[in-house]
Amino acid sequence: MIESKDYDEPAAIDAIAKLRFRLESRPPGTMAILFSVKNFTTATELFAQFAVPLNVLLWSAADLDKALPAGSMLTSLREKYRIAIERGWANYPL
Amino acid sequence: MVHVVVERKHDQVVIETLLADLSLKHSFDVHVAGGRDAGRPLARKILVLQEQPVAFVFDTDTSDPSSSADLEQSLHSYFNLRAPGPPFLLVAMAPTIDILLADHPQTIEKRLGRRLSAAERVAARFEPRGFLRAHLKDLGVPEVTDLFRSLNKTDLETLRKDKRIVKLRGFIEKQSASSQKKRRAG
Repeated sequence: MIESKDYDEPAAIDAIAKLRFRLESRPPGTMAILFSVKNFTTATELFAQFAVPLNVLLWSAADLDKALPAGSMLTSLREKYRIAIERGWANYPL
Repeated sequence: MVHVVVERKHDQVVIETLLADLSLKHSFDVHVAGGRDAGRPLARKILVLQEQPVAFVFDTDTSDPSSSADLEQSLHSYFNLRAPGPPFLLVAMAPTIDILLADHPQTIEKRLGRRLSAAERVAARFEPRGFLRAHLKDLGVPEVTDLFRSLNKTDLETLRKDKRIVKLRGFIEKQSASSQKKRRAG
């Protein structure tokens, strides 16, 4: 499940809360990705990190700037997912 | 190696200027994140994956002390998410790093050639970047960054004694000495 935010402000907690609500009606193991061109507030990152299970990965503007030009979106997604599994980290910066 | 993470290029210039004398004896790197809210994850990445000490210098974007304190507490939770790791230091600049000049107005007054009025001092402390930008012509520089680049020896000494910079310098000195000691022991 993918959601992207192109706001003037960093993505706030409600963006993750809404995604997680939608994920509740999906099979276990379904993941979501939240893209935000203005990154995320500290509270948003903390919420993504502490919420159980960790099922929303965060992509910042810097992540997109690295992965898109290099054509490595899928590789980068796998890396973020791997770090989420190994380290429990929702917002690993590429 | 100690890592200092800042949010913007301007912040990098300021910090590198104020730490330049330390680079002769201590090993540290200043990293620039891609702006607001990009510094946190970068600082944590270095802390967790490279397992080296990190100092995170950030703008609070508020002059309100309780909001700044809340932000600092959130960041402590953010960096303390997992088992204790390498040491980290949070250096809050309220509202922005330019407060360093506003908190030591003599550095501005010398350039302006006059004393700041009480109202100007308050304005400078409340919105330092805006204040400095409004007086760039009188200060004789094209950009606020150039003010920091052109600090004389006396002004550098003054800013290096600022409590926030003292904290940062102390952290770099301590962590650098600690890692040198570990290298010798190993």
